[in-house]
Amino acid sequence: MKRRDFIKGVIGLIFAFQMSKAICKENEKKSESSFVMVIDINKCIGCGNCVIACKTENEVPLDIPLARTWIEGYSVEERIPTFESKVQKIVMNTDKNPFLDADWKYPKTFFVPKLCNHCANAPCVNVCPVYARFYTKEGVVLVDKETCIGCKYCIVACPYGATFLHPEQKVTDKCTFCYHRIKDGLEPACVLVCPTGARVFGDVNDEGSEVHKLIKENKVTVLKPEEGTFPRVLYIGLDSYIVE
Amino acid sequence: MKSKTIILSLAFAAIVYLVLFTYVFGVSPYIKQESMATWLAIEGSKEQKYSDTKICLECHYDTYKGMKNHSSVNCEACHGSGKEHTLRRSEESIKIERSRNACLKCHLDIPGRSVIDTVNESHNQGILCVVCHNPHE
Repeated sequence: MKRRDFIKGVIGLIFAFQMSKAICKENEKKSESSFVMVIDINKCIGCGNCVIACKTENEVPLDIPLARTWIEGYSVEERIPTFESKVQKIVMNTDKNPFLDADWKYPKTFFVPKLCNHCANAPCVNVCPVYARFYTKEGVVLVDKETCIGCKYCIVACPYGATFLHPEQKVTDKCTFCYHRIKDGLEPACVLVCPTGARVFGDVNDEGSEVHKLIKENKVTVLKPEEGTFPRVLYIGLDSYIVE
Repeated sequence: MKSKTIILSLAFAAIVYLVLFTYVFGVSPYIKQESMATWLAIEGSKEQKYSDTKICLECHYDTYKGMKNHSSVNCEACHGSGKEHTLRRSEESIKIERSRNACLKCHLDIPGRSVIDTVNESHNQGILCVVCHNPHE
């Protein structure tokens, strides 16, 4: 082999290698999706559609006060926030809406929908003794109900109170971001039925998605950042000194 | 006596190391991830009870076309789960709620509802909302 041919070959090989590397990287970028939910507190009107839809979709009994997603209504005295500031809190977690006939004591009232935060560093995954809880590649935290033994460690560990013991299945249950719907490209049931668009769900890595736009344009906050859980449920307009 | 203690402690240590060894080198269920793959298949195959507005529009496009007030609200927000209706396509298989409470669920005047139009309980009491207001308008 001549020297010239050898050099040509080597250069060609290096070029091909670099090209293949670049293509691999591009493919990796495309497959990487990360689901988040953005909740706008200013838009929530406390109608309770999401609670009923979630319970219907995921076979949680409607009349028990345990839910995968629930709404907390707050009424706050309008003063500078202190430890003594008066807060009235009402929770909706059944199909009856208590906000409609509640007597709100203070004029400043708002509703906070809550659900499993699908933490990137989830305490429930860390404490599970039988490895029944795990992360999917999109970042959703799921419960393997065949492996779960119902020891309730996760209920104690969760700082948000988002997991509960299912009274019929006798294993722990929690929000799955409606995994059986989002894998087909549908929205979760609570997002679908929200009449004002307070809940928005999507892939944060997809630059054309609505959640990407919302996070880019607004200041978002999470619940209990001091716990170090890195939640996937982000809030817009949350009074974080009141809501725990 | 002393040698017996040493042997016992060594045996205990050996057991502990063996357990750790098996866990680290692939016997642990978390590392194998077999049960997780099976559960992902089960979770993914669960029945969807809510459909999608795109599917409703295949038949009911005329209702949707001229809508102004509720154009951003999905059909199933008011009509409930529509999976059965997409299969049976009959009037009984979908919820058609004409009561006052169905409208007042969202439109009742309680504090914290500034983004939508609200009415008081005393607004034309005893008359159904749909007599004057068409929700599909």
